[in-house]
Amino acid sequence: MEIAFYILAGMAVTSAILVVSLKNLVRAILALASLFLSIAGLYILLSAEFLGLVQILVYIGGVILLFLFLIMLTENLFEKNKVNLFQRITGVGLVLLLFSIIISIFMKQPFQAIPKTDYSIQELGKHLLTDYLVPFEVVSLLLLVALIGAIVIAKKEENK
Amino acid sequence: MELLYNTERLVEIIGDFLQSCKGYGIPEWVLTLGGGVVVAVIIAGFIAVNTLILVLAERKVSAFIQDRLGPMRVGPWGCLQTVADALKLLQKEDITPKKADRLIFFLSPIIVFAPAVMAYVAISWSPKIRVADINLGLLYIFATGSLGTLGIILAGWSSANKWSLLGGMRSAAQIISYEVALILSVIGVIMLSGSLNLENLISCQKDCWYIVYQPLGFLLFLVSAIAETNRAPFDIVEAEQELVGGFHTEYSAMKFAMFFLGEYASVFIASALCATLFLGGWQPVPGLPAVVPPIIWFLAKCYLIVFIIMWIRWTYPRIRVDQLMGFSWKFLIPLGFLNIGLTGFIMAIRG
Repeated sequence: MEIAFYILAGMAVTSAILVVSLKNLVRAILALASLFLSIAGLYILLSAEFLGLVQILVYIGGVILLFLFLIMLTENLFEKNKVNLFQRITGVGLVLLLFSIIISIFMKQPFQAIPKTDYSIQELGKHLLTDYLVPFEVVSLLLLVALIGAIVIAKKEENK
Repeated sequence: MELLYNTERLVEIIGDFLQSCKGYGIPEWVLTLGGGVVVAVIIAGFIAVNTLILVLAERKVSAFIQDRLGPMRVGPWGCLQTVADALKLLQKEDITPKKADRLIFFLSPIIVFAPAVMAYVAISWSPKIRVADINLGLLYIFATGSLGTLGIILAGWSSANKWSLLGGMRSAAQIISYEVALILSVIGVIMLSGSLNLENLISCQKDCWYIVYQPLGFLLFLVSAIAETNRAPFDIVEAEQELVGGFHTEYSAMKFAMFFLGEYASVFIASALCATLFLGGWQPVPGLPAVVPPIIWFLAKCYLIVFIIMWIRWTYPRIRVDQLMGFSWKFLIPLGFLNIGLTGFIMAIRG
């Protein structure tokens, strides 16, 4: 099991580095797909099979496909638009800020082994619709708002 | 018949052999890896032979529907035609277009074929023959299905050919729409059985097949599965008359064969899933004595669905690109929700 963890973690880190370093966008997306796949593998290794499989279905089957679809429509997106100094500095600053926030949260949270439980989908469904009903509904509402926003923007383009 | 009984015995022998190996101090990961390789080779062999049979069947079915004879020259009744075709394909030159992205052009057929092999692991062929008893087997098969489409889109993009690119883009749009309809169509079955485990789903259908309770779900599943496997009347991805050959225009020789194997492998997986979910899997028709071995029942049901899929292909004209998305979002998905609502309503009434 440990070997599997190191292989998957190595795959995840390598593909994450490739995603940001590759110049070719489609290859970068392929690396992103491999990153999602290795993270799904890590979830399954932690016996959260449902999360792992949904990760593959939603992220690779949905998000990556949409990315590819968009990149095929916008060829040579990054060759024409060179990134200027201001954008670079803002980018680095934002990344450092996010990184320090994540590290500070990690420092406060002492790591401990999760007790081995049976993550059945029946239990998951019950928890979602009883204990976590409000956050669940809020997330659904957020997605709905995003959906409506996308439709409004697309409609505007059509009217021009 | 005898051979199939022996298949069950063979599976047992391999399992016993792997069990006994543990006594000789061979580390467990070697056994796991070795077992995995053996299983992968068996599945790849099955896919290859099955594809030869299905291609021949497809040509014969289309011939009979169009009142022709189909292939007749190679072997008796033309039954060696596809073997000859496969041999020809193996000897062809492997061409990569000059402007193609070589790495992705090389990887795409593998990305299409490998998930198809992965899906066979979860199928329950008979009470004794199955590779892995995955608790979320149904979800696992859907996940592998969504991996395969990545290969089709990348193949279209990396060929550096506008027809291929169009095929790839159509594929992305089509898969995103029909995956929703496909998953909605099986939720009724999941509600009835309360499980995503294929083994449980089959044992729940001991007395009555789910096609009786879920006729609408069955039809929705069949239609979306045909669209998911990119077959006519939903084959706008490769639409010969509009896009030359779509995403695989630039592919030749073994790489082309990989796409072909991937397509027929996923058609068979869709049929196997349909047989498992709606036709009681490897169980005989309720009420009949179990004389025939379960694997024959299962394969018979699979080939029946494959035949229906071929029948539809050679009967209906191809759907237009602009009709395709509307058909999924405005027709299949609302019907899927209706099916879920009705199933929940009836379940609530009957307790």
